[in-house]
Amino acid sequence: MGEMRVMGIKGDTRISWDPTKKVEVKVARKTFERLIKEGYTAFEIGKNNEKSSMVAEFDPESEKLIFVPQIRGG
Amino acid sequence: MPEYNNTQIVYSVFSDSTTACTISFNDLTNNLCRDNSTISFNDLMNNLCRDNNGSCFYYSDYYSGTTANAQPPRQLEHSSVAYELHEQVPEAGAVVDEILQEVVRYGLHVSENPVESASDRARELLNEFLTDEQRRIYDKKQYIEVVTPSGRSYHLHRSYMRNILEYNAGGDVINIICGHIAETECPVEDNLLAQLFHLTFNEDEFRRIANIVPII
Repeated sequence: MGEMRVMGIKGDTRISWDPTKKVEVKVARKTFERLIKEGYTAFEIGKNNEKSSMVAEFDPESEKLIFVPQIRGG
Repeated sequence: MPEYNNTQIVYSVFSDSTTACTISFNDLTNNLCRDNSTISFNDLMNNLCRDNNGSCFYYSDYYSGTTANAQPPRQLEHSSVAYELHEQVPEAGAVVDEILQEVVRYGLHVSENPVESASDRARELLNEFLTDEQRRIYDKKQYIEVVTPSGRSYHLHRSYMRNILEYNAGGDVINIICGHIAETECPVEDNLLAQLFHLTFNEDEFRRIANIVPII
């Protein structure tokens, strides 16, 4: 199962999808793209927090994605 | 004034654009109070000029003097630069809620972090990505130590703005960095985690966006 964790005013919300189910992958991809469009940045987290990186495209095989709201300078 | 430090204000430049922009209360007052005089949020809001439709406008030159001798707002003129002000509705939450409704409709599993309060959830999420040593220091000193892949060293203090100190190899602070999540209604630990991720995986872009003040 893949999981998105989206930061928000209520803390993080978790959205999970099954990479073997086409419909779930399609909706997860759409959700990913919508969040990016809204200014979120996605970070893919590897196992044991290793091999993590910022990602701009959805990978159905991702295990954990953290969505961070838009950053701005002060 | 401190309680309004994180208040976000939406403004539009009346004569130049109809597009609303956001600005923090501090930045707004810093920009408008050119002589470094200060003004409370209530004072600001009470001295706004209202037009016939009830919209609030604030003249950019109103507080060019001290608040004590500032002249009252002039009659609103369309050629003047004015600011339409109101407190920003936290939109990030609304966007997430809207997305979630859509996601649930298609059968994906959605769950909130089971921890009760938003700040506790954010702290739990942050803890997942701190090393034991980082967690120990954060618990004791309320900042996160991080050395990024570029070799730069930072302390991320528990706050939203101007909370990142950059150190040189000798242990001296060389920069104060202000780059934070735009949604300041989010728990402070979410902001710290966002800063930690950006500094670790997106450092150059983060530094381009952030305001970096060198320490002389």
